[in-house]
Amino acid sequence: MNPRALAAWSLSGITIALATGNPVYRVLVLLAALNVLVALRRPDVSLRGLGIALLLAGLIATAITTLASHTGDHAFLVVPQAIPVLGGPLTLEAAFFGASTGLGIAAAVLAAAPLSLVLMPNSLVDALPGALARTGAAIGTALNLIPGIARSASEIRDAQRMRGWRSRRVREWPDLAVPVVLTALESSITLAEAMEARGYGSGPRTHYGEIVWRRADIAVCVVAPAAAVAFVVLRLAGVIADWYPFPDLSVPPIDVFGVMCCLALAIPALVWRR
Amino acid sequence: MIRRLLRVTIALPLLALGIGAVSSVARVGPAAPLCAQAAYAQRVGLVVEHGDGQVIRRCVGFNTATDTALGILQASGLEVGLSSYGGGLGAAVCQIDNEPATYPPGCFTASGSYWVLFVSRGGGAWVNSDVGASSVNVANGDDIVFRYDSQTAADPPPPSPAGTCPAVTPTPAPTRTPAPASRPADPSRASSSSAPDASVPRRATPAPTAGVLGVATPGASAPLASVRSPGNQPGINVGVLLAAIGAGALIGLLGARALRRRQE
Repeated sequence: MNPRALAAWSLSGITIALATGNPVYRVLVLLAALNVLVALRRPDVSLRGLGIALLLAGLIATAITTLASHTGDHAFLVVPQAIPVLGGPLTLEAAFFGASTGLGIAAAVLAAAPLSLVLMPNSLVDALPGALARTGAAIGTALNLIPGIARSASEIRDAQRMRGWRSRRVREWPDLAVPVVLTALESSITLAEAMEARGYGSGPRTHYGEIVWRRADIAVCVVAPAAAVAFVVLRLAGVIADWYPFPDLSVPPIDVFGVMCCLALAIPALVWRR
Repeated sequence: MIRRLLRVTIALPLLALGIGAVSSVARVGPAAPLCAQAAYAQRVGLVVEHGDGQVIRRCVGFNTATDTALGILQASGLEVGLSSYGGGLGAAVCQIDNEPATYPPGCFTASGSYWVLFVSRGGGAWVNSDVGASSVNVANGDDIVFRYDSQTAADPPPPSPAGTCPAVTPTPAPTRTPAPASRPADPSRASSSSAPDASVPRRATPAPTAGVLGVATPGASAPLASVRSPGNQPGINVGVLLAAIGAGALIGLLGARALRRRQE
């Protein structure tokens, strides 16, 4: 698959997920993105961590909205007014609005996730336009540093334990933190030297392999952005209505064109194969 | 295993289709309560202009020296959704007579329409209120207008308030008639409301009608105008159907892929 086409698809998914508060469209974007992730993710990638993180984000969004927004007709609990911010009726409407917000977050994150879970980092950096090559390399290096530090911390902790170290108090953490920071610095210097030895920065970026555009890539690159543009235009024109549950819960309005735009996002799962 | 996969792939869209069909059946709810209080010492005329130009007029009575615009609106029996402006400005009117159908927690959208409040003191000119409806005091003979207006389009002043709440006449009180429903929350709920009146123009000048006089007469209780389009008839919504089928297909595809991955 073409990384640029996947990036265009991701951007389209995020656009639709954030352009509306309607949970129906958000669910459809979420399902389309999940299909793409399950079908195309790298074999070594697990979706469990992402799923748990999104579930937690959704629960937190729901909890915050329910506790902080006291609008709506159907109160299921009344918190004493003496409690600042939280005081007042907790309503079903606020809970549903929070859940819808959580759905939006999940849909947007899942639309962006294939960039890291489907593509290899080097493919993504390769796909950047020439003007952004250096920025992309810097961001890619910085992002690679995080798992490297985690691995390093784990190894150093094991090594320290074998020497009898036990972390019981906060003031003992420097025993772990100092070697981790030093190792990270050393790795960064090694990486910089390796890049310099390979001629990084000496001229325009060259590519090991050319990015090829196949029919499926073109289809994704055309259909997904077209769907996003159509969705935004219809949203601005008022054809695709937004949804607010206040003051009384109501069924979200669903427009057939809005649904078609969301379903069009499933195209990578149908035309691309890993 | 392949059969099971096929079964799941076919069954899920069908299940979703069924759910979609059931959920797309229009809801039927009770009509909004009607209340026009004319048999009081103090009276204030209330005009509600919907975004499509439809006008509701009520003559609302009260016995205290003054009342607030919000009190008048709530006493009219029309459905009202409120929020707060904060900072002592008072209550913000987010929804009247179920327009808009829904609104955000902060009441206002960045560019959408909103309910504008105009006040006329004793038959004088309309003045656009710069505080919330709960902070506007009205007295006998005053008139108020709530108009659902765009934030961007030109904002012409409401028409003359004369006759909105006419004087009590010595004519015998008319027989109490069944009150037609107010604006339905959902267009599909309009089965019990009166038929749409094509003669009511957009941005129509609220002019007194026989209904107005009837309501203004002590003892009478009837809405002055509540003519709203019934909108869509109950039935299957294509968008809902497509969404249900699409969601079902995506879930089926997802399940099939997950099972295939597990087998590999």
